Amino acid sequence: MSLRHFNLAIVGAGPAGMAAAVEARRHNLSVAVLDDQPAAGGQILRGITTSGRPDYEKWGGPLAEAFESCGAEHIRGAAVWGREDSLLLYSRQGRTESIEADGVILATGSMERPCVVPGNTLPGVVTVGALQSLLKGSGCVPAGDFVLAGNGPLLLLCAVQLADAGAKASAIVQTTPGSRFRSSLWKAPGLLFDPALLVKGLGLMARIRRHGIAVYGEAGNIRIEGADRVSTIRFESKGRKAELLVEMVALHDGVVPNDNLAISFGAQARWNENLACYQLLMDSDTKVAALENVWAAGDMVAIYGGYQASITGRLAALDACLDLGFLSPAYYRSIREPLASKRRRLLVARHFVDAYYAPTLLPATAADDALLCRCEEVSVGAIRDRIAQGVDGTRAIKAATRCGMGPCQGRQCTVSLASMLGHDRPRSSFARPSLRFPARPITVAELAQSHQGISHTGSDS
Amino acid sequence: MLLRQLDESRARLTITVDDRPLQAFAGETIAACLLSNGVTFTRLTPGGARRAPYCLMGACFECTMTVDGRTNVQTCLRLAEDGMVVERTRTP
Ligand code: FES
Repeated sequence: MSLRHFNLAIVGAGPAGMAAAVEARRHNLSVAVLDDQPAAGGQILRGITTSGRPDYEKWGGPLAEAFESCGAEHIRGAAVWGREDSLLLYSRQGRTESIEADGVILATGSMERPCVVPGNTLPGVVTVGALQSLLKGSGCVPAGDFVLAGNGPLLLLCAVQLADAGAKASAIVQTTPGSRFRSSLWKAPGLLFDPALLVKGLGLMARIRRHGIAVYGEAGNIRIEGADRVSTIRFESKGRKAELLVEMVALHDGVVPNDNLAISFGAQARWNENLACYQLLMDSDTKVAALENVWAAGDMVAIYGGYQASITGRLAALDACLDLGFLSPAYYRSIREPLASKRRRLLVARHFVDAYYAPTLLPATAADDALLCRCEEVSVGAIRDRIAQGVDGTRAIKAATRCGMGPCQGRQCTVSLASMLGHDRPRSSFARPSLRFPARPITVAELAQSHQGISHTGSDS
Repeated sequence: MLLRQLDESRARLTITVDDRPLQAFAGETIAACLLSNGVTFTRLTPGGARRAPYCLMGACFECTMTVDGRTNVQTCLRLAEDGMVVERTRTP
């Protein structure tokens, strides 16, 4: 079988990727959607096509249905790791496969901001997103006592979802500063622009109270302890010390763009000190700078949440359709303009979003013994020492400490490291360290196989 | 046991983890199955510390194990299949 060719490949089957696929299919492009998860939906709509649970946002169902019937080829469990000209390489069930695509839309979404607190690597510590993904994807909930700790409405939402499913958290430990809490809840764009969600958002606190979950507000100095797994979480709340015995702790401190694949393709990113995260350099709202025929959409470009991602996904698809010659400029403008203006109306909420996601568990304020780089076990204290010694810039610190050189390739620590430099050395160099090729750790055997037989990979699995 | 399965009417299957048979439910990822069966760690760091699945969405690589002979498989991204053989990656 020869190498399969598509007009457009989309990486990511969340709201942006699904919407892009539907739009591109509408204009008759052949489309492949590659996603590393077992089912479509991304993080926010995880399991929407399989679980039949009713509590997804209301635009999610129609989008997922449109996606499933749009005629795009959905390649599940595919971890894309490289691009050579029109060839897109991915690893699936341990084999390297490839397809050919004239254009690529990256829609790799967001990932949770690393929470740098002492004890965050103990077995039993997970992210709040992880608990949500276990609930929606695998149908599993914590079996014993657990706590949700950190910042952001996702904490509340997840606590309610778990309690509704029969797993009540021992407590919610809110690190949100007292002054910010109400404004974030009110000003979240999803809440502002979706009346149903607004009601839902306002109801969350009430539902948490009704479930009888204790909420510790204005918390800080979190410390997770245990011999070889979690046994205790200690913290201060409103100046009072507290300690809870638990088996699991789920941390959350907002989300950051997941731009790893774009970076490994050669895209550039700039550090944004206000948002405390990197931002991809773009030629337009959807076209990735410096990469030929590569567009990007959704939270990987800027964090606006799932609904906006479904709009930027369509915009990216339209731009790709135009550049690849599938739409006349006049027709393109007639469809794109209304969509773009709808998006501009939503963009008014930008500063609300920034307030909403402002992080609270950054390493600059963390204890010395908190691990900043999980893989190479580099502590906040070690980085602090290097900065004090005058080692400057993300690359130099990486070279001096091995921070970011483990299996996750800096996915977890790069943002933390840059935020520390931003705090201590406002004029430091924040070059986004490039990712090793391939973007995913794959085995040497797999690589060898892909080089021997690139023209017939994907044919015999 | 860190986790429990909400819907025990799901089809059951068996996977082997470090020579021990574990019961899993259809539709669970390998990582979910491990955490529901008392397997509390998936890998050891070079310094010897125990690590377990953390992000459950493919970003942290704490959950990597050897699955059916393939090393470095992210167990949070793979559904458990009947007869799967899962091993901790041995530290050199
Ligand atoms: S648990 Fe993080 S990659 Fe699997």
